[in-house]
Amino acid sequence: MNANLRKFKQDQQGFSDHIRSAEQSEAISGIEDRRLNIYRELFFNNVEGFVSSTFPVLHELFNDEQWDQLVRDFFVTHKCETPYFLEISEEFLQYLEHSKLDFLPAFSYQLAHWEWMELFADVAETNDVSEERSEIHLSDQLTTNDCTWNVGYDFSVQKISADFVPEEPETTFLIVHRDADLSVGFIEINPLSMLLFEQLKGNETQSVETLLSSIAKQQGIELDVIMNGGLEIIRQWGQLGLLKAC
Amino acid sequence: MALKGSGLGLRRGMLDDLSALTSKDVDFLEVAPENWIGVGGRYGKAFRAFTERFPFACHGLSLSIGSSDDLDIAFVKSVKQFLDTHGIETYSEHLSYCSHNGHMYDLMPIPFSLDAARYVADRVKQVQDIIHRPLILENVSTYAMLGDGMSELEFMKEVIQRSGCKMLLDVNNVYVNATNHKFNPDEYIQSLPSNSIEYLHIAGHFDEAEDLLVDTHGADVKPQVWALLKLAYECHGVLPTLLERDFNLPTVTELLSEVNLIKQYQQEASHERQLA
Repeated sequence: MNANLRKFKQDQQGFSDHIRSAEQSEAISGIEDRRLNIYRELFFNNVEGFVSSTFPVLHELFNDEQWDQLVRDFFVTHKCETPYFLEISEEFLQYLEHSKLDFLPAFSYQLAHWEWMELFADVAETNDVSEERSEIHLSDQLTTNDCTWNVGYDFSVQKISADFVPEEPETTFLIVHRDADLSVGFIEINPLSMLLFEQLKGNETQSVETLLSSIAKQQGIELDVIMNGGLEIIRQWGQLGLLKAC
Repeated sequence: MALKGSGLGLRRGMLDDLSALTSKDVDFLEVAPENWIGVGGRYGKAFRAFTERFPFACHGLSLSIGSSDDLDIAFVKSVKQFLDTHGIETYSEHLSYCSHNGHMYDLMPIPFSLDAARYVADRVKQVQDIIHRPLILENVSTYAMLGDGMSELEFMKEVIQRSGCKMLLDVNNVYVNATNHKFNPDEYIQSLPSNSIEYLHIAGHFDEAEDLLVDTHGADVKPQVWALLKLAYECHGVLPTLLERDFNLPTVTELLSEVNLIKQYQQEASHERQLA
């Protein structure tokens, strides 16, 4: 790199540092502050817009000063690798997982992950289309649709709002599904259903009956109870369009 | 397919309002590939409904051709695949940079110098080798001037000449920069190489101060900018022209009235050229 290109790189370093944080970097000599201010505001407002549009619930939990501090800390400290605008939300999640800001509640990352999950389900590219299955028998070999996702959290993130902030952890399992009309919905399930869903997800050849018996054995639950309860749940999932033939 | 006539920038927030749009309203549409690559679901479906009905241009935002960060080769390949999948020939970007130690998602002013022009031209060639198309670079709005005193016009011409790339002439940006950096916008437009200009952009801007304009894409096109569009047609021929509107979205009727103004100026200019 010749001297002129070194200068080119230094100029870009100085300029981008200043835009990220005027407080932590020097002004650019020879450029009026009102001109730099246009860049500072355009960039920050742009990033803030991306973050607040994907994480509206997280946003409403903080006052303006805290929110700006959070977005600024993300903008200054996190190196965004993705060129894709919707994936800025994933960059923010990565940042949030390790954020050191002291005013963030313990559930912040998990709440944000849940809000991101709703976006992810909305835009994910999958070949599967959700289709209702009205009849399901124990002999059917079933697995889950690709437009169906299961997630687990330590807090009931789906209930959080400015009016409900959880004080205590509460283990929560959720299934997010994209329906035939391409709208996104979710259901809350219990730990045993979560286990069943995961078994179905990885299923390649086994019948519903075999899956349910192995869960009964694994969990030490009576076979009749699992067969009746499990089949009932699988039928509900079939009606919701979450399942397909293996 | 080469672009022709008048176009409109398609934003995610406009999909529903524009669903009844026909080729009588606009000749082509434009999207940022970064907003659509890898996007399925309802947005992906709505997008395909448009690509099946309209010719498209892609107007990228994240290439960062003027950055001292490495080119993101995997990304350029994804763009190429997206263009091919949707049958899109036109790929334009910005003569700018939007990343330094990571993406910053907006456009910064390249410090202009001859060495910088050489550096950028080399990167343009690298991109062109991957996408198998000419890269089309837009003159961007700037609010600060960096570098060794080389002008934007000299820099643009140098990059075009060295790389063989094409130009997307944004007439609003010419007006904004002419005000912000005190040059003559007419002379800028007159000095451009006609053969290199692929298509035009027009948009509205915001008057921050008498000597400082901001390219917001959030207002109606100003009369002085329409005048520059007419001048561009006069100097370089009647080129495809696209209206950009990203913020403060007006009604479809209002948007199309500005598109119709483009059509009207195109007709007038081609009529005048025939007479001449």
